[in-house]
Amino acid sequence: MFYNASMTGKSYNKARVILSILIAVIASNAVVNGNLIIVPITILIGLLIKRLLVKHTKEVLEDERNQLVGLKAARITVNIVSIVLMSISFLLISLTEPSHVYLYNLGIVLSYTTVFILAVYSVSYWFINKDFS
Amino acid sequence: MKNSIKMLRAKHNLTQEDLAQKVNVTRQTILAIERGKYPPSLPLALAIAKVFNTPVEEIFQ
Repeated sequence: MFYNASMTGKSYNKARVILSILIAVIASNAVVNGNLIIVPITILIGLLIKRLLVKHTKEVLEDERNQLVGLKAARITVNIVSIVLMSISFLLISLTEPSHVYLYNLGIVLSYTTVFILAVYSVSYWFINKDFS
Repeated sequence: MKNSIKMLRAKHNLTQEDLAQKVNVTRQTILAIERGKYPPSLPLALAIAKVFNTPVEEIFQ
């Protein structure tokens, strides 16, 4: 119904949305029922089907403009997420009462998460920068 | 960046979709270039110039 040998961009988008919904439904059902092994298998099969769909789509799905938009969006996301997480962790660590140990610990976890995000960003920036110089 | 892609498309009887297919980009990218919202990369500008058989500096001012 949604798949043929040379799909257009519109039919690819329809198939992608249906595939995403199917994966979400199957994976969430598997988690609810405790069959955790089904989740990675479902995601893997979904990725393979998506790859097959991309391969059989005759239209260009991604070009230089999409990539530029993605790059800018990724940079803004990293900035916003790191600022928000750092602020929340600062508030949790400095303002929670000593009796609320779990909030203090949550603050610590969030601050380490922020450091991890910034470290991954710096490392990938260094590697990509090396590629272009 | 101003450009004469819309005029050249009309002259060569090409739709945005046709031009997009010829230079391997999406129709939205051609639309964005025509509106001056997105400056194309040098390879894309050269590919567009090749399609219209016109020097790149005449298309993009």
